[in-house]
Amino acid sequence: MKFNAIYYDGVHPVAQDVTLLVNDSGIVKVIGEEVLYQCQWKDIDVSNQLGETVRYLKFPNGAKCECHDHQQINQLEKRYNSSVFSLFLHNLESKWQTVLVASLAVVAFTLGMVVYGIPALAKSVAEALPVSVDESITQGTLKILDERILSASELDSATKNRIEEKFLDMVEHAEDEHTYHLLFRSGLGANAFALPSGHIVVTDELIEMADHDEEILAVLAHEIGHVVHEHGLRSILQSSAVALLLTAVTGDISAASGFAAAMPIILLETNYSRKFELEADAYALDYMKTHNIDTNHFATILLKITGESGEGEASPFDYISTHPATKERIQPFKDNSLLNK
Amino acid sequence: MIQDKMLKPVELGFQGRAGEYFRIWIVNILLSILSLGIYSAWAKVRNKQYFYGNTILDGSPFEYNASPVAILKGRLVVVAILVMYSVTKYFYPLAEGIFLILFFLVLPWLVMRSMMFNARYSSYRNLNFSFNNNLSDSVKTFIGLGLLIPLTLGLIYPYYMHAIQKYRVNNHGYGQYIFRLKSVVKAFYKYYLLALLILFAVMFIAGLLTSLIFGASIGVLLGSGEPGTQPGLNPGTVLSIFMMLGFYLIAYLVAAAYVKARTFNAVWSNTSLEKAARPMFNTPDVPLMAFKGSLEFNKMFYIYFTNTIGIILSVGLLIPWAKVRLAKYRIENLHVASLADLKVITAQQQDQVGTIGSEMGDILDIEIGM
Repeated sequence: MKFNAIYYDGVHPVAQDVTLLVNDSGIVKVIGEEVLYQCQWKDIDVSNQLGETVRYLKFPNGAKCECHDHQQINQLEKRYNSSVFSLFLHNLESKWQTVLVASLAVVAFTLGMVVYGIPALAKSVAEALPVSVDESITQGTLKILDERILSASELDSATKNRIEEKFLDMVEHAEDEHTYHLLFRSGLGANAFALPSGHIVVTDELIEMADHDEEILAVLAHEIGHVVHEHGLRSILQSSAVALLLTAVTGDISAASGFAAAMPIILLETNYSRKFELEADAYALDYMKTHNIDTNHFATILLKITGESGEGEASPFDYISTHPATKERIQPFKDNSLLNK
Repeated sequence: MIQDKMLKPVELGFQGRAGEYFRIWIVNILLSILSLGIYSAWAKVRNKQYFYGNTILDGSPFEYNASPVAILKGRLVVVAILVMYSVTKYFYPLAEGIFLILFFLVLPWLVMRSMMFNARYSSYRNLNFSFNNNLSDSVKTFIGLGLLIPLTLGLIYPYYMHAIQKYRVNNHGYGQYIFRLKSVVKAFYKYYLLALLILFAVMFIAGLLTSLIFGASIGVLLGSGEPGTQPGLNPGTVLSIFMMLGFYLIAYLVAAAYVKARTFNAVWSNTSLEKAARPMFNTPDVPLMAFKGSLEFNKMFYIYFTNTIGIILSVGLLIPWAKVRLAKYRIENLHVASLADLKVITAQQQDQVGTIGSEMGDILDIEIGM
């Protein structure tokens, strides 16, 4: 067998045109103006085939040949080297069938992970982690919020005591290992939120906005739902997993396309967040029904917080919001309201 | 530099094709997934080999010949460190600060090792490139100048970026020859200043337009940022957020394209490949090779912009296409001239280089190259 190649001695960067001559016993001769080198084919380190790029034959003495004759090289490789890995890769990459299957598999895997895999994984990890993890996250977050955003509550202690008593009544029956605390703060408008360990913060503005204590209880039940279902920890786990997955799948993304990668992450995270809101709503609905609190109170307070009439049409922009459309959220509460029965 | 009469232009081109690279890329991803990430080391090598092997200088391609097994080992160590970091971060918030300080302190070493590894396993015509094991230079640049950035309120930033390029170019070698970058500090100041002005101008126009169109809804936007409540989102607000995001993207791409194109040209046009030992007397010094960059800002922006749009609309499937056309444009706008005979260059003894530095740089995306 005989074919052309370019020879580099490994000492000077000079290209030399040569002929490679391989005899039946697998001995290779590199022939330029004279025989430049000679060895067994099996001692040559042959580079893998990669698209149309050139192949390298690395000789034991450090010299190299560069060659485009893929067919001859592959034949010799099959005959003298049993390693099939290099051919296997190129076969995968050059057949359109495998490429199509690979594309579909990658897309299906990514979607499957994002829709089912990551949420399920985050859920089981969150359940397995000890409560002490929740607590260390909460302490850090609460400290920052208190230092920068929230200020002390200005409610009179009678109101605080009344609500706290009802709250303690509520959590007495919550069946999980969290220890619940109710914290009164001001700032942030009419609002309430839950921290992973069971600390629930409610603002003065929200309490002043409510006409009945049941409205506040409805909000608190929703927040307890977040804690029971470990939403805080799960959302931290999910967002790190999504970022990891996308980096792993797309590989090194340069600065310019980094922005393109941020878009799906934003869409995904708001989607996860909406699912958590609905889960917490369901918890609140269940709680209110079993404790004979009119579920309509939830609808009332939610409409007050969002400042909506509840008649608005669903917006095409709902998919970038962290919360589902109010109208959709309050519907189950209206349906179950005692007023309707 | 390139106008020197004794230097002859050498052809440099890129032959990669998006369709071909797509097939390699998607198989890389699939095998990485199936092997739970282990194949990613092989994928990295194959990726680099594709771009090196399709960059052809004077008829000969470049070659990347790092061992995937070595890269895998480096990656495993780095992943172990990162997992340790993220776990301890949650339990001991203080640890995060300590880790960051440690990271800042080892950064010069990481960058240097990363450069060394990459150069050691990059070759042209069976001769490896090299990068100096010169830690004090790296410390001076990344820690010395890095600390001055906040102290000078960022005024030193263009100088810092220039110093990084100088460190990068001047420590690279090929055989007994070394690359040398003449100082272009002034140009760097000009480019970064103009980029900042461009950024402000685009953002100003964007803000003006958005508030003209959606004047009323901006107020709503500012009034409802609190978490936990339903932000009062109406279609107008959302649309204006999208518009602002769009303008932000364009401003960013314009500034990035401008800085990248101009600094690429300035750096390459002032770089040469010379003998390591400078002549004792003031004899006219003819370099072995000279370079010139000719990237155009508007074409660069066009490529960045269409790449970004393409990647978004194709949910990532056009990433190979984007990478290939950017590489092609850059390589086709780098011009090389050399003395006819490269025989004067001789290979130098080189040691193996470990992978931990380079893989840390890879995974944390320490981007200082061109």
